Amino acid sequence: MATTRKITSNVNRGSAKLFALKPHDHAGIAKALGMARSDYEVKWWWKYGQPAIDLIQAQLEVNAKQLGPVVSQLMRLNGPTLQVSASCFPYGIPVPEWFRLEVNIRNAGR
Amino acid sequence: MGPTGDVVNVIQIHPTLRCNLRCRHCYSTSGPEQRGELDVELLERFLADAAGEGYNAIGMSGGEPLTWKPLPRLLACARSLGFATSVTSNGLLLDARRLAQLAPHLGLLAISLDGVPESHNRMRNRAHAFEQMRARLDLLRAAGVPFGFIFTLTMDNLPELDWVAGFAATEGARLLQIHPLEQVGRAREYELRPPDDLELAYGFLEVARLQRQYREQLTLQYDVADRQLIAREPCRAFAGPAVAADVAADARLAALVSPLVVQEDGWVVPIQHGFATTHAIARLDRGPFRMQAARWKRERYPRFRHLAEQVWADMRDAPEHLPFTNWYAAITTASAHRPARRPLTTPVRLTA
Repeated sequence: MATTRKITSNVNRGSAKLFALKPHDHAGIAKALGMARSDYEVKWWWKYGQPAIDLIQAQLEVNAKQLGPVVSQLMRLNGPTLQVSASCFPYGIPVPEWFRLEVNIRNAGR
Repeated sequence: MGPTGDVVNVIQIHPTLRCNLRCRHCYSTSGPEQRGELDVELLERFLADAAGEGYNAIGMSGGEPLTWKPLPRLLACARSLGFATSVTSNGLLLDARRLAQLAPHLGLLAISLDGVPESHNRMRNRAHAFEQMRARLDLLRAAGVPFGFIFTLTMDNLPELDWVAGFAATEGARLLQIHPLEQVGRAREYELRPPDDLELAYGFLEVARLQRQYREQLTLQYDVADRQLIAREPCRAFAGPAVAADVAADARLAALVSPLVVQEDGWVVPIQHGFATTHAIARLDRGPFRMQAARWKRERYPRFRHLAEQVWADMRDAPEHLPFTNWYAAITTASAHRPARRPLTTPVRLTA
């Protein structure tokens, strides 16, 4: 079963009122899409009734031995689209045995 | 990782199909005549297990979630478990009392907006629905609740997106999402036409133009699958090499499937409301979610992966001028029609 919808050119399209491009001008549409892609990228796609989330707050309990690798892994997520920050709370006296990590991940790309 | 990336693992919850409106495009055929609702204690137990499975965000939908009385309680529970929270609403039932209950636990309120006021009211089947919704935006701003709008794209309403973006920016929304109409539920009864892949291509051009125009004020999000992106990262559509059975059994569920959807009938299904229950992960009244999830990983995950791979194989080859498609509709439709079979690809192990 093909999942690509059949394209019909003889229907009333909203786009017909907006664009000079005609439905059969495939090369023109492809060129316009290529130019627009340099400005706008579809990175995620959601669905109706489910708004995009742009902030994750999570609490992790991490064994002392794993703390370094876990924090390193989280910080590697940092980049142009994700901003990660973490607060660390040690538990255990006198030597911390485990840590509670509070992590904020903000999607700066949206 | 799925379509929402590898950081945000989402559960969409439909606690009831009860709604104060009877919208023409409603995929779940919600309305005032609907009576059933999910038990909040069942949902709280589910969320505790789901957090352990790696999910970190919930989206409350419906029906109109503001008609479900335990909503503040469930949001508070979700927040205490570390979930990000959002609610999708038509906005008509917002009042100061409800907002005071919701605001401490709410990350984002998404309000449906279907075009210029005349179009919105027609789609909502209610005269003055737009004016009533707009009158409540002051309450949201006063309460400091971040909000956005959700626009449903049909075959013929793309010209209204310009007005919608301007309205959203003027009203102080942070987000404008554009979703393609799905021809299920009441949208089928009213014979509303979903955008085909050509109209989705035009839609992308308009969204890109509007994002440039409102760069500093508003984030526009276009909810269509980009074939180029999936070709680069097949895991976004659950395609590509399958995960070995023993690795899947030990993995957290969120690493295998997201979004999850909790339907008003208690079924927990992958991806989208209406996904075939032959692929269901659990039913809330059939015992602890973590036990049912463990069984799904062992027994049904390979069939889900096979379905996703087949859907991607069907949609991957398209002409250059049609790079976008509605993946959610494709896989949900396919879930009801395809016989569940064993995967054909050679399993490989997940790497750290």
